[in-house]
Amino acid sequence: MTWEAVIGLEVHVQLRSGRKLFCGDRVVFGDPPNTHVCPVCLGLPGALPVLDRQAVDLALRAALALGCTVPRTSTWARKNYFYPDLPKGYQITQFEHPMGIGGRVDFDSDGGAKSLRIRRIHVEEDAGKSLHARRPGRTGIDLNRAGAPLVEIVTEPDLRSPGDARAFLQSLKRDLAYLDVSDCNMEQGGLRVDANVSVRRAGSAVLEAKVEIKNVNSFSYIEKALTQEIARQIESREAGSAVRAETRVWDDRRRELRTMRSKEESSDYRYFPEPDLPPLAFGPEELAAVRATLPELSRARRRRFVSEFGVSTYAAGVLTRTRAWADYFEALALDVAPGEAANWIMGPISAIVGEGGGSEAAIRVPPHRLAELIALVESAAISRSAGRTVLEAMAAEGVSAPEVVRREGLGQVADRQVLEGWIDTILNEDEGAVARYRAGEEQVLGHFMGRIMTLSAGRAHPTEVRRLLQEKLREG
Amino acid sequence: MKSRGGRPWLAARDQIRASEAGPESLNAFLALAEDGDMPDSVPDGPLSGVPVAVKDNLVTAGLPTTCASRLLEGYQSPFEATAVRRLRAAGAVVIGKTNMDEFGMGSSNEHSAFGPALNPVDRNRVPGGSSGGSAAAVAAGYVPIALGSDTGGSVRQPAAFCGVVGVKPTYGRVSRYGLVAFASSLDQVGALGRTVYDAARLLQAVSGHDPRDATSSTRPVPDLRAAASRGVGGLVVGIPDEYLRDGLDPAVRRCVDEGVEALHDAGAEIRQVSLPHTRFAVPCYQVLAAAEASSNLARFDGVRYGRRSGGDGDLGDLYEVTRTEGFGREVKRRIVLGTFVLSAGYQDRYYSQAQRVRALISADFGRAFNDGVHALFTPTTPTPAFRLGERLGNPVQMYLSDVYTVHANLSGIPAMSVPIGTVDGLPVGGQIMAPWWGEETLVSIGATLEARLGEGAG
Amino acid sequence: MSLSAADVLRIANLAKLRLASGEEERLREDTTNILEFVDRLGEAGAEEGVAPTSLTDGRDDDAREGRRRLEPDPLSHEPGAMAPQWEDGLFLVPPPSGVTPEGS
Ligand SMILES: [Mg+2]
Ligand SMILES: [Zn+2]
Repeated sequence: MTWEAVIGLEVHVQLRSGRKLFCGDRVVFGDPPNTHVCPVCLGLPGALPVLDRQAVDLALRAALALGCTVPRTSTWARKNYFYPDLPKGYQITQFEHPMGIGGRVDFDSDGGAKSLRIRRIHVEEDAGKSLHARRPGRTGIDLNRAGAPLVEIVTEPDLRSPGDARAFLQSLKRDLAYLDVSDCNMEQGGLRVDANVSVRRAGSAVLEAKVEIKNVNSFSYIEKALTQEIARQIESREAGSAVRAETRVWDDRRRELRTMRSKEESSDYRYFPEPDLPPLAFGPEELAAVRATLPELSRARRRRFVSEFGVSTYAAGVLTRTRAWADYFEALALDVAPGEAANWIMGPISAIVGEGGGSEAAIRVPPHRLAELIALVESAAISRSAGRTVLEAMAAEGVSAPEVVRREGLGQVADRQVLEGWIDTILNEDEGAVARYRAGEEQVLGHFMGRIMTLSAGRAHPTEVRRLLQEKLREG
Repeated sequence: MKSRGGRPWLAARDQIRASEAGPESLNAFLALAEDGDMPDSVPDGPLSGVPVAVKDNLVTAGLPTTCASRLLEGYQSPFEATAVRRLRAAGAVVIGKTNMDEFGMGSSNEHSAFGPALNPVDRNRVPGGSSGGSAAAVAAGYVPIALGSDTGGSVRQPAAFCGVVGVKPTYGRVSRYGLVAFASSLDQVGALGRTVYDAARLLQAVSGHDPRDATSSTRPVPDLRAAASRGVGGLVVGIPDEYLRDGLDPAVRRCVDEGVEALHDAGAEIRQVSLPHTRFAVPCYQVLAAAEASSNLARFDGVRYGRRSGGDGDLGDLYEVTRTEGFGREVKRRIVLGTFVLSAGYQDRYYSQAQRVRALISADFGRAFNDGVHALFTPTTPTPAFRLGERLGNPVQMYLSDVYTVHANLSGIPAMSVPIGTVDGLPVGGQIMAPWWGEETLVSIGATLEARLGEGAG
Repeated sequence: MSLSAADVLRIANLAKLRLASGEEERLREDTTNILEFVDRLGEAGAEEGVAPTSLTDGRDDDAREGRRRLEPDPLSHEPGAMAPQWEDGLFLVPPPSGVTPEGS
């Protein structure tokens, strides 16, 4: 009997506006606790929220890129519950009228091309952090993160496997970075995922009781948690018992899910419209203007790199991991054959700047300068190995290839006199080998070549050396 | 008597202190400024050197802010309300914080954790609420002007009970930043004064856009002081019949009739109007105010500030003991009601229904004002000040003290109460309501009534 | 509508109030009276078609939607000066139920 998993996700992503959503405080990770706080995010009596529109502008990019409809007005709501890291006793979020509804996302997983519907996307403020057991029997509260801007993306339950869930999340993370919407830094809590999952008989359309999975903080754990949970549900169903709707939390230390105690479960949030904030309004012109600035996203770009530039699917995948990287490739491909461009980026460049393109180093070696270097190598003005040395210097100092070549004397030497001098030195050193060559042991030629290249610090023009060497050996 | 070191406000403070320590104490203040809390000199401005009392739900630098709640006893705000900053910039000197019903919840001042303020006209009677301390301070002559706040009549009703002028501006006219929220969609900072002119200049000084309040308007503030001398010639004043029905004290009714006559004599056209949803306003207000309050007061949890109780138990103890011991009975009553009307299964029947009724009440006003009426004239309260303890046992009866005032908060329009006579020596207030942003009209009509019916009038 | 004792307990729990038994009954009665009073809202003729509103709806919103960024209002004293319990820059509270101390 086959079972089918039904998975939906709720993803919280921190917006990269750098400021809290309703006050001017900066959002900084890792600073001493309670140093980025003000009357608003401390929830002091008399404080009022004022919206930072820049956060909304970022969320709007996400909503449009995910194919959502953005209503003309959307509204803020209060979600009421008590928790020590929630200073006001309510979270300002969007409930009845979110800013984005009904989108769709295509993504590639190991199982091929997939599509997933987005139910809604809305903006809300983050809570602070509870630090348990720092003090005996006490919980410490740090409100530096309280009020940080988030978007929450809720999918329809269209995913059918843990692998697909992971592939979607990776694609989402990549695209949010492409859009400059979020850094999605998981270590810093900048991307958090909840999932709901049920199993049903394959082909059935019945809705089964959902189990919610919370508190998972890496993509591989999400895949693992879903796999565990699906197995547990199948086992339970095959044993003839029902699956209870409940919330289960991921235990990072044990790497397994456990049932959340019923007291921890949420009850009645009493949502109602936030009276302190006027509704958000988006005019059609604004939506069109933002839509016009949306970049091509990773999946489309990957496909285009294959079709337009003829690079391999693998290479296209690597080259589109970040938007900076893909932009770099496209700029380089203006001057350099695409295959060569891809090889240089995935080889020497990524060895230096790291895969994905540390932007700092990439700026020091802009595409037009790399193109210049590649031209020097291709015209044999410098050797391929010297090319790597030059590239390192370019990245370290931000200089051009010809400058490095001139300064380091790395230009390839084809001058007959100089080459003959090096050849004579090597041949004189090892007369035994010369004799062996003349006796017909032709592989000795490679040995000589290597010695000469070492002697010339790689600058000897290899084809010329080989020709002259053969000439000399024949002469003798 | 020579003022001490050219700081006349110190003498004003001393006088209040002496009077409040004596047998005629009104318990109007919860805190009085010490010498160090008051400036050596003040900027030149429209209120230069004027001592002003501030309701204890506006946060102030220096003086504590308690909202008359045990939970905030001794609380020192690390920032100051925009309205108070503007007062200081206009040259006024904050002389003390006034008594009130806890968090603004009440109509008699009897719900203060620090004992009720008393009505200076008759100390056996309530001064009204929730800005009772501010109204009493002005009526007693302690200060010429005082700030209050008005969520359902909390400036106008005590002004009427104490025989002073009180004005609630249009929602969004004065910043709420630093006003401890009771019901955010209804709250406005309001002005009390001995005269219409005083109330007008105080309101003028604190009005105007504030980027720290997203609901504050960017509209320019008109010259309200000039409006005081404009008269009522050519104005159409509507008299809503629904405000003159059962429950209205006949003696108060006679005062209102005199007010109508005075306006007519001064050149206003009087017209009967109908606001058919009037009777739904108090229940509508009770539901919405309680709902918002239940959320606004969630921040008082004993975690970050305020008085903590039960901190030796678990987190649930900390929350529950802090809030149970910290809040008074009326506050708990409103929190329970507000939580209930928002809760799953009841929200549509109560909260959402009240929101829909609110739209009907606003539409009533919209129709009246669109029909060429410039302002409405009504009683402020159905009776003069009642006796201490008279309505404490019956919350619904107490809520009906606001039967004529909550409408302006529900629809956002400005409203003013001015003294229009007395009944057995007790002051009676008449209420003027104007369209959104129509404060000038309030001032013109108020000044006319004051001139014709006030103490000095022939 | 009439509240039951269980309703009052459920609400008090949501609102984090702990009511003594006398207080609970009094609140139940008071709230029931108020609810009976506000039940008249049902007669107002506000049928489904009338949209719920809040005061800020549709008024002045372009003016209010400034895009200027606010700097935080500075605190005249540190949060620790107001806190009931504070140590090393943290507000301290008893642990929420269900939290197991780390490392145990
Ligand atoms: Mg959320
Ligand atoms: Zn802040």
